[in-house]
Amino acid sequence: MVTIGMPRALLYYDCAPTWNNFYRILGANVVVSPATTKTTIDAGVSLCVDDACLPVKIYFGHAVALAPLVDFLFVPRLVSIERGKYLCPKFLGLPDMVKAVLGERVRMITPTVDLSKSDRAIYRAVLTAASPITKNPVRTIAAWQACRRQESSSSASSQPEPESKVHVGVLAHPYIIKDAALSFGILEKLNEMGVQAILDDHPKFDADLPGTLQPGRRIFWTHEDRIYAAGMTMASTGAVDGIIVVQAFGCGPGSMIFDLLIRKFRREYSVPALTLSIDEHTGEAGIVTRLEAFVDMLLRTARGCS
Amino acid sequence: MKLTFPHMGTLAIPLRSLFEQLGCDVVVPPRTSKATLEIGVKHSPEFACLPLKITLGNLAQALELGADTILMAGGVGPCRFGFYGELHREILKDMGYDFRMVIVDPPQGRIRHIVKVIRSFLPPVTVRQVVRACRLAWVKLTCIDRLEVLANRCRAFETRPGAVSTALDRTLSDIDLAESQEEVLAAYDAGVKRIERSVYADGRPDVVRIAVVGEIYVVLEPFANHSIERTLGELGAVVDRPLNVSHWLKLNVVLDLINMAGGVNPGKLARPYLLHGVGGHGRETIAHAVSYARAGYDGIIQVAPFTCMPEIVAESVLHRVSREQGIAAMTVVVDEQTGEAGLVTRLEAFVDMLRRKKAARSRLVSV
Repeated sequence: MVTIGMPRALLYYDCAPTWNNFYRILGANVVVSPATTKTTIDAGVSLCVDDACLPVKIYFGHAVALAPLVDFLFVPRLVSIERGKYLCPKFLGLPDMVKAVLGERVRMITPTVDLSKSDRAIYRAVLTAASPITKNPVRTIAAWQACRRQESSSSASSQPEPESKVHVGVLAHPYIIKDAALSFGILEKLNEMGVQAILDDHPKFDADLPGTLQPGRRIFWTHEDRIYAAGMTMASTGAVDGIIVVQAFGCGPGSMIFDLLIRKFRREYSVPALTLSIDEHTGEAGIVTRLEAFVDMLLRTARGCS
Repeated sequence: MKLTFPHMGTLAIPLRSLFEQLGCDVVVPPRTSKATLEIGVKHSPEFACLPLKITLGNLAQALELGADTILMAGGVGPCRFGFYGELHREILKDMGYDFRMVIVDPPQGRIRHIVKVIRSFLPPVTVRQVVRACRLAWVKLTCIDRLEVLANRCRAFETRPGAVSTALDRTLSDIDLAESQEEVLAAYDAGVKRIERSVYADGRPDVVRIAVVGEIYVVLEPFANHSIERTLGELGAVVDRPLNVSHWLKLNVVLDLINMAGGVNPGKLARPYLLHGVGGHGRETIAHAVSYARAGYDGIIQVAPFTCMPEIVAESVLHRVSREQGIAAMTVVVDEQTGEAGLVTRLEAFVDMLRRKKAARSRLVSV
């Protein structure tokens, strides 16, 4: 049986369930790297170029940990996952970056997913992804469709939301906020403080909200477009008492979008906002202190109003 | 209406000529300086790349001088540059300026749309005027690009330090003032002679050849890269740079108007190092590195702004290119914190290393 390695980083948090399922249906053994630890971070930082953001460095940490355990490392080249929009350039070059570092140490599967022009382009990626296991296109496509079906039936369920006095919008890339080691467990900490965190992937945020950009122009990055739409909705509807932005140090697309959002928050909606930026030198104590101060401020305002 | 646009190297010379010939009032931002950078850094997002900060400073300074319309290039991703205009507008609004912003997106074959955008701010002009203005601007542009190539090749052989750069600067200002094609060409010829006069005819034995590649803005803008070409030249290196404005315009405007830009593909050279474009000039950096290695150059210097996403990808791959193609490579990351002395020290060390390597190799050959 072929063993496929999935690094638990970057777009793992968006699309790993689908791919894992796909490989299982095809009869491969999928190994996901364990959750990020200090060791992962250190390994990644030492392998990757200095200028990359921490999430990319961590990807290297996960990849190098998996390399000796698997037959193939799954490193997709995600150019675009929806029409007219792209992902950060680092996703476009990820397989080449990993290859330049790991070299011949591991074989890689690197399907190119580019749906910027047509949704059907996914089939080419799927065929490439399956090529080490089967070259039979019928079997591959059938497996892909089966896992898409399972996914659409399971995604309908949603959890009930606990009631809380203070709501905080958390704007961040999924690969940061869903990785507890990377984000210092901010979501859990907010929960402990009795604050309800609302993420930008909440279904009620319509990603097609007309922005305040020049007419006819859109943000051309998938994540950032969603974050922008969510942030603007949170602020304009008054659904949240405050907004926390969690950003990787040196994040390229984020540097533009988060700045634009905070400008709008200040100018038009006067919603309190806290920006936390994270890199390999960030200390947990500093993050916690700032988080506590922000939440205290929100709680006090809420009490003062009621 | 008073039109302005940010600087990028010497681009302001042809742009000013173009729009003045079309009957616009043009306010060229003051030469990029420390003051420009300070304005930019103060008001830009912290992690934005250096070109955003400098161009913001350019625009703010031009608005101070009375400009009221900003012309900015747009983009469709995935490089951040495509979003500059949107962010510039919001930041300048917060700074309290009142202006109009025109963002010209890459044409992608939609000629009509581009004509409409450009006509929205131009005074009425005839087709003849447009053709004349474009031709003059184009001649200026190509002459400047050629002079810069020549200067980069000649600096290593100059008779006294700075002679070539002085000759170049003088010629550039002549071209800036020229009002007809004949005058431009005359200034160009005079400039070539002037540069040739300031170098030793018989060369020098210990030159090394270095290519400067990377992100186009910081490669072209001497303020951003601390005049890296000049420094290298004066250290005794023959410098070549594959990126220049006329080439960029040919690719991104002329060919893109007829939707042919995809046909010019650096992909072949970048194989097997980088199999997909990554926006900006990431893949070009790798392709250029390979072609210079094959052409027998001694070293490559990649210049990139801090946090530049395409160049980070290129940087990660560049050391593999260096190892497998056998060419020395160095990455220079610039931002507002970059100190000139630190950079010069690194460049000196790099040139020394190349020179010693070359000498050792030629000794081996002769033995």
